Amino acid sequence: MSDVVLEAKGLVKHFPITQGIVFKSKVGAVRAVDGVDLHLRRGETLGVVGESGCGKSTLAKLLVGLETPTSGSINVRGEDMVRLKGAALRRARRNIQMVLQDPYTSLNPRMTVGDIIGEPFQIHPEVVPKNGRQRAVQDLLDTVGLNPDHINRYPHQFSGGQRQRIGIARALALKPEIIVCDEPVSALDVSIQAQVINLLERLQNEFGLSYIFIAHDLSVVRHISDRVAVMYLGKVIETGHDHAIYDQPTHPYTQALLSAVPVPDPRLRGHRDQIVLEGDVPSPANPPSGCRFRTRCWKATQLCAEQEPLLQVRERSPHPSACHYAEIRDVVHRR
Amino acid sequence: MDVLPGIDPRAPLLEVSDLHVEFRTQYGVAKAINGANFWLSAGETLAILGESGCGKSVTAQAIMGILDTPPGYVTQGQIKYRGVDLLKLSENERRKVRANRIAMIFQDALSALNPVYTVGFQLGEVFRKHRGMSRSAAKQRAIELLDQVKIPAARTRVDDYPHQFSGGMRQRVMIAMALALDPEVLIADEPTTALDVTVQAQIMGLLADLQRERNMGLILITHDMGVVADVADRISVMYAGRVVEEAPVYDIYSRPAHPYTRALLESIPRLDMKGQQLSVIRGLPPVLTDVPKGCAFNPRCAYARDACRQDPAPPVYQVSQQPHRTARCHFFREVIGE
Amino acid sequence: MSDLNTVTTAEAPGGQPNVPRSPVKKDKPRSLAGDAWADLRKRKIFWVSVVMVAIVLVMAAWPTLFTTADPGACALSNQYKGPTGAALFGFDYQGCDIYAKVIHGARNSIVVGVLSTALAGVIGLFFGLAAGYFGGWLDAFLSRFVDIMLGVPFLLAGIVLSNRLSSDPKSDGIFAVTLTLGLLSWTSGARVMRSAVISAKNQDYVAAARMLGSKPSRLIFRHIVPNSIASYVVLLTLLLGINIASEATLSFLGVGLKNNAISWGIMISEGTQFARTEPWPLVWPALFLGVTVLAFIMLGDAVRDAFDPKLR
Repeated sequence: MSDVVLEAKGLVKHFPITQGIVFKSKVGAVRAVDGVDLHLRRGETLGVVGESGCGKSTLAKLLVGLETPTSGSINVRGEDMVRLKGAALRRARRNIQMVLQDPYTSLNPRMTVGDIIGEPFQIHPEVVPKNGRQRAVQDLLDTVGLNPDHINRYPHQFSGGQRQRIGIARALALKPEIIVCDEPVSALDVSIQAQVINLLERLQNEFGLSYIFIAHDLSVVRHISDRVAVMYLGKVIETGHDHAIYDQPTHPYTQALLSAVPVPDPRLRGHRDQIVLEGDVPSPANPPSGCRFRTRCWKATQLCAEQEPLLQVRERSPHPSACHYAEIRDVVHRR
Repeated sequence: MDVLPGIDPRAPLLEVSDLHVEFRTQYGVAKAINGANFWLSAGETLAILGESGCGKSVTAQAIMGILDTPPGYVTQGQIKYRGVDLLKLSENERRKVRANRIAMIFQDALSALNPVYTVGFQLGEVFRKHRGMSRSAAKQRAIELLDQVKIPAARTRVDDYPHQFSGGMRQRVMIAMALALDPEVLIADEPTTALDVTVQAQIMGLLADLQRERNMGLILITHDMGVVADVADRISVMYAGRVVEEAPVYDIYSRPAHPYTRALLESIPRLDMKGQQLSVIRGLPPVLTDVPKGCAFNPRCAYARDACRQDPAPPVYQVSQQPHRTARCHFFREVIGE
Repeated sequence: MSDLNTVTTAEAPGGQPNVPRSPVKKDKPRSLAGDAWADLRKRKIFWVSVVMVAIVLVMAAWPTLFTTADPGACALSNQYKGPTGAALFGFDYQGCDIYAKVIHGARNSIVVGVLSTALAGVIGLFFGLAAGYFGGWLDAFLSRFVDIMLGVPFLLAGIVLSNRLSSDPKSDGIFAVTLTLGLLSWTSGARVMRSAVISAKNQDYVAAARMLGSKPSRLIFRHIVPNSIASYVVLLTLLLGINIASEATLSFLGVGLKNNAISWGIMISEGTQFARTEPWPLVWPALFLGVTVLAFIMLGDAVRDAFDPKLR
């Protein structure tokens, strides 16, 4: 594990639920992220999947410093980002950037593309000297496949896919090692998605980037990821290499999730293992005791309510899985 | 129920032919639909597949008669329900068709429900207005409907407000409302796009069950090739306002006849295999005020030749008789043959 | 236009932009302000409003350029006389030259209106930004304070405040009225600004800038203010008209402009008394006020639109 560029340990983020307007009192907490460990190697892509409310977006915000964790540590190059302050933090932040989901709201509509991509240089003036900035911005535009002459255009003059390229160029500006991609293609049309995915892959090869790729589309995650972590109600419940998760899932939730994803091949219709979950995800403000998935799980027993299963390698699970009854079941391929 | 004059029970359930819709905006005339043809039989699921701006939602609005006019105008074509051209009906008659024969559900169930009334009241209102039921009878029917769309504890939930339901449950309420008056055609416009995959599976399963029970015709409007592969019988692929290919679902996935369909299928990552680099469709869909000459797809097409770049656009070619397949591509044999 | 997409990488060669645009020349990087100015220069409505505002300002600064008559020289014998050579608009109840009064009244009206609106604008901007950006208890405190201010009856507060501020019996009361109006009229603007700031603050591009390590000042002045000020500017142009009229109300009650000071507001409130039979003493100052407010509104609209790239 020599090449680890990022390591998060015991990340927790609780959002307090308050009552009252002027005098607020805490009445509870939404446990958005509740004890997540993960690591990322150089040049690797870690996919994070899960349904809405599982905490994957909060995790992304914690990693890039948009939210402060309630507890836990985020180590980048041997420095704990959570404890850094001032100039050291600003320098450390350069190394970990983010591509946001919505290309329509992530760019300031009143700034030119040149200003948007050049903003990182204004905030961190030491990176590129002033007279080289326009050149640097144009190089970035070229890198992401946009016309370098378009620095004076405004975001609304570009299509969704092109805007997402602008967002990627901005994330690349400070030459980070790590880029957190929060649903980077889910707002794009099918034919444009592939363009952006291929761009991300090319940039990874070119610059040796490490990605944390957060998405709800499991097919896209499989395509781009080397390893995958599945989240449910603020916890990682299964993690492993992409073929381990997709071809040999052992956690019932992963199995249900995968079986629900339609495969674009009508010949598989009726020939796949179908697991239809009952009910909705419980509220993260009041998660079930023990295993959080037990309220919707067909395998649940008394043990699951009493004892929380740890994320670890088990007898019947060759990769870490947080289920007492973990067992391989292929739900993706033809039965 | 009122009887429409001229209705013919033996005629096809729904038949759209040569439909043209344009939006007259200050930037010019956008041809949102530029000749759409398809039909739907009872008990059948037709998927209309396409990307944003291809005209799939406008098609649904035109069928429902809820097109915003201005700026949208149906300029040509027919929409026949059991042999009756809906476009020739008065607004009053159309409203009746809309309520009783053809219903629609939308992507965003939260904004489609009124937040200040209970779900039961809104459902019951349909019966009070169209069936002249009493308040208590209407509420009873509302509970039955909520039960049919498998909302747990329907009897208590009928008095809840829309915001008290989760996204999936709200979509069920929408479905219940659409099915209230037993329509023969249900149009679902991206019904699961806003939902999580496990909930999506629940909703699609529910729709399939209801369709089977009622022998309804279902038009599923979506961009998701996976959902289509799972539920559709036939597919109409739309691009820049035209139906470019139409075929049964098995044929279209195994042997697409239009380059656009083919390129789409090759550009999506798959869950069941780790693919190579994705093949991409170059460029962007056209602006509807400025659609390319000839075949609208030609600037992005790998098969394009001179004939494709000249008007008129490729006609509707019959690809095969049995099964019935069409494609609007001069070189469909080449596309399908490889 | 094909120039938007002259890219030839593997992912996106060729294609069409979504919106047809006129081609842009290759040139130096530009800024929003520069683009806005280039756009404004081409707008007729901008120049029309600029000329109108300029005329009013000149009128306020050098009224003698427009009339040599003394607005204070009134003769009851001239009561309600029609227009004569120099007195273009005729005479009012007191037998004063309406034209001369309107010209000379511009100064007080404009000074009171512009300065009080500017004061209210600054206070409202500050409160709205602070409440919207920082949120939490500060927002709760400031918002409640604004609510209390809105609950205070305007006339009552105006009378009390104006009285306290003008202790000198010889003053014309301009300072007191300006301050009074400024201090009482910022609240609705603060509310508008606060909600605009909150919605701008939650946009993804602000998160993106924060992630890059922006300091709060940069977030506020580069990202939040430019994207939240539009409706505020419009509100201020409307407030200008309201404040000019409010000055009249206060003057009418004896706590506004004093010692025979002239303003459009005072003329309007005097003119209303016999407006049924003698409309002109009301119509002329009202017309000047209306045109002035319209000019400022048009100017505000044009500037706001120019700073929105989507409307260009």
